[in-house]
Amino acid sequence: MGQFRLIAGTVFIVAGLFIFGVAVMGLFRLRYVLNRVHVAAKCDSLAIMLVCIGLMFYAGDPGSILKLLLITAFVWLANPVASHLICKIEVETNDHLEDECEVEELP
Amino acid sequence: MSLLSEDGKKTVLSFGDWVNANSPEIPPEIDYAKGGDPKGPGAHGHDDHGHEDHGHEDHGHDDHGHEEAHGHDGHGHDDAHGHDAHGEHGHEHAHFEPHEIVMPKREKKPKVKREKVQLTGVEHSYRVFAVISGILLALVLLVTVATLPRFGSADAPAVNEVSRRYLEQGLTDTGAVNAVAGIILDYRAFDTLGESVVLFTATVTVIFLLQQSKRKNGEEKTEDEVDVNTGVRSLPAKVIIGITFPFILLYGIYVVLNGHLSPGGGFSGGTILGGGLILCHMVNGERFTERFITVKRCTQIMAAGLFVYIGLKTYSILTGANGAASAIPLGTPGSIFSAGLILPLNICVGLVVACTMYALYNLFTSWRS
Repeated sequence: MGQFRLIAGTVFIVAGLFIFGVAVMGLFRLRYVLNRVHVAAKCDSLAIMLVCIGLMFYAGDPGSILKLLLITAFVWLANPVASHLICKIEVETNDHLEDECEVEELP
Repeated sequence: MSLLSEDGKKTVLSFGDWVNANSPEIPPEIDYAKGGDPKGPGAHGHDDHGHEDHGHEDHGHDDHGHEEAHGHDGHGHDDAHGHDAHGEHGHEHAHFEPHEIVMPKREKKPKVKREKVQLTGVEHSYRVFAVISGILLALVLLVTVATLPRFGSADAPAVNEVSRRYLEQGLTDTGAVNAVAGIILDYRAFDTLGESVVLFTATVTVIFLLQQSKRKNGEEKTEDEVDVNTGVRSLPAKVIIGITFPFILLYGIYVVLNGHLSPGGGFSGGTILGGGLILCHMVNGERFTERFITVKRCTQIMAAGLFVYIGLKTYSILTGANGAASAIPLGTPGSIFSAGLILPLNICVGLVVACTMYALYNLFTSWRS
């Protein structure tokens, strides 16, 4: 494995792990479910992409790179939708949403 | 029910206010489920408060007009869902409500304090017996763990000629590169048949229990049932499931068909297939999925899979169960058509597992007590 690939892969994976750490911290520090969903969704998507890019540098062969790309694409498709559904449930079932955040009434 | 207020101004009350005005006195010692309401019991004035906070500067006529408009809004919703809010208080809704952001204001659900039940002598003895038997079971388990051989020691009963034979002769005996598939679908195929029959039996039992009680209730459709029929009211979810659903099924089929070559097989691949079907049902609703799979068809597929499994394995056992006299060639290890009967058996198991998962999900979501 070339020196460049090793370093680049490591940098990307460490960056991804750092963002995972931020996400975990946010999950425990934030109080309200919508804030926590926000943290989890955004950080997961970004961190998984970074880790997958790092692993692509490590793997090197086209087959593995394609699989990692597919994993990233799947997570980027599924993760926002899952978070969206959680948020939708919270918004539709919380009777006192305006206590938690500003609510814009739909027309 | 009349939602008009009594002062003759013909303002339409919101449902929360109406409940406030008409609800019986609530004793003050009841805790509210959400807790922390500073106004005490029955404080649905909360709602009004929130609206005033929204920043109408002159509180007189303007505010009134605002409330009236809002009241109209609430009224429309309440009429549609008054039954829902009234009749099914204790019911947990595991799905979306059929309208947008604005919700009818529900009564807060009071937390029911569990009363202390006076126990009779027999019930006391039950409790004592339960504690004693729990302690005994824990003791037995601890003693068993203490007398187990050390992990990986050479004289453990697990390390005998059987496992050595599986590892050394497995490839030539079964033709499966994946040793696990070779063990569970060739050496121990009878055990796997039992597991599949357990799944089938569970599904049949659930059908017996749930469909009967459904028939008793008559055929009137509640709002929940309508919701089950059309799925989640969310465009992103429908679009994304439309994109990913074929790929989920494709991946499940790949895992099933590749069971004798790579980790995977009927159980894991069938789980992926069943999960994909459940996702599709969850998002698109019964109306959509019943076009290609229903509970009845699930049971038919499961029964067919089990019969094919039994037939194939009977043939294998009648010809000596070792592949020597069997007419089915083992093929070259590593190609997709190899390992004799393992590929069709994997398909049978995969179908049974997928149909079990989907049928159980479908039955439990469409059942209404």
